Amino acid sequence: MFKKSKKIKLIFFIYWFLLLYIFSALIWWYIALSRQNTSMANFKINEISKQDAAYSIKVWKIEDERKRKTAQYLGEGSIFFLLISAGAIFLFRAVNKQLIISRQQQNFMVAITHELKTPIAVTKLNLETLQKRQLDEAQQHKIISNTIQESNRMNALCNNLLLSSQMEAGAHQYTPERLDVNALLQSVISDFKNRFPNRVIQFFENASLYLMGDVFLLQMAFNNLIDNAIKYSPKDQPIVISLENQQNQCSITFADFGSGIQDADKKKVFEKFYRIGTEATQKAKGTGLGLYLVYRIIRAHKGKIFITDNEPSGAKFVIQLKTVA
Amino acid sequence: MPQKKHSILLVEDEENLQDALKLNLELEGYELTACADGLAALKILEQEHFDLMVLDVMLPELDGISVCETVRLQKNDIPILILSAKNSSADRVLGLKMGADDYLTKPFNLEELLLRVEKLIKKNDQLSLKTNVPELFVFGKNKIDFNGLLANNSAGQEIQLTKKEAMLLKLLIDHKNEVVTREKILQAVWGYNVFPTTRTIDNFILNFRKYFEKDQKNPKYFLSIRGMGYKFSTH
Repeated sequence: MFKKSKKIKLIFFIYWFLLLYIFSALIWWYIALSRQNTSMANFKINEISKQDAAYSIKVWKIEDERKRKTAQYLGEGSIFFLLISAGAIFLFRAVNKQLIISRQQQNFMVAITHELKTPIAVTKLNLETLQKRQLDEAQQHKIISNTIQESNRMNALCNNLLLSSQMEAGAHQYTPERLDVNALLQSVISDFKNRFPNRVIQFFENASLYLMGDVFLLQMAFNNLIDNAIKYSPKDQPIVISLENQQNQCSITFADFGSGIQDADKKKVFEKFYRIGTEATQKAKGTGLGLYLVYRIIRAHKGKIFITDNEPSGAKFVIQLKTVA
Repeated sequence: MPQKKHSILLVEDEENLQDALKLNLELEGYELTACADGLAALKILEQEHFDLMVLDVMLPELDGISVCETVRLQKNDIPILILSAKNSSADRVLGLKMGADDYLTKPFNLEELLLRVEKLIKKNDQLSLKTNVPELFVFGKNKIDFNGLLANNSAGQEIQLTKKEAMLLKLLIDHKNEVVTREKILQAVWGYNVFPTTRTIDNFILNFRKYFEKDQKNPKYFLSIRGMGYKFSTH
């Protein structure tokens, strides 16, 4: 990583050096040409005899030509200057953007390594424990349910990875069907209640509400949002989910009582690989894929998603989707 | 002193991994304290002695590498075993450079982890038992015979030392001209894991002055360093 940053510094040095060189050359050429222009004009004026009746008219013409040439150099130079500046700015921005993307991808690789290896480590350790030790039934039960939890986590991560690469490649088949969003939420929430028996997940449900959607995708979006709410809020605080029927649309809210999301990050969290804070200060682990997928899924359903602050603390993710009869 | 259980501080934020590690290490007979972030680990280390720290790298609040660095800057020589998902050689080198004694990558083999833990603790025990103090130690006109638990002072008196007194003398003499902290004394001589505020050591030092100092009010050998600990001085 150290070597890479050195390389980037070198690239930036070359960039600024070339830019400076081009601008100095431009100024230098202007000075050289305008000097040449002045000496040519002076030379022409000296060639005219002062006794010439049209002397002053000829001098005026030469002066006029000199001025026009100076204006021409200035005009052409300025256009060059503007074009080069525009190109340089464009190049600078593009390189910077690439750098940010490559840094995010690097962070993503670190995150993915952790997210994949941890469940594998837990599963392996738990199986080895069962093999090595004579445990009582309660202990065995706990170990097994922890292992199942970890394999679910691995499965969710694999789904996120697969779907994001399919979406990137435009290969995912979006297959909408008429579905009951209330029932879908109920099934997702009951799954979470089984996986996290110690967490309180409240659901303010509604009567059956139908919409045209892809069951797999919506399920994944809801999973990611609940997973995030659990990850980013204290264990003793509930997760509150509600479904409201508004005119021709439904509004689904996922509220947690964690530390919330700063205004500056409220839009950015939906960007691919974006994670709040730096790797060292992050309070929970993740890949930066979850919310990006949620956003893409809701957009694919022509719906809206936004974040507001929860009271007294935490974040609220609100999804609005069109309903059908 | 009865054989005390070795204690381990486990710093791991993944709950399921923490549970499984705790269970296994406890079944091996270790006393476990677990916490889930770097700052909490540093706080616990200030108040308690451990024979080993098992440390994850990617931790909330303060990462494992910084924890390792801080522990070493605080002159704490607790053996540290890093347990991390980061497995490149650069990551390992960084961990070891920052003061870890061993580095194991996830996923790991249970048997291997248990063996490494045992070895690190054993090695540290052996190191702390080893002293460079000769069995017959002379300073000024005083003489201590650690084998016979006897001492002779400058006044020619023979003093019978208790086992604890001999241990404390050995510890101070082994670190002569260095400050030995109260925590280190309590841990090494009394085997306390939790550090209480106690005047026990003060009483021992007062006895030593009675035995060996010519002027007890202006001690030459057994010095108290306010707020830090004690020093055996030969200057």
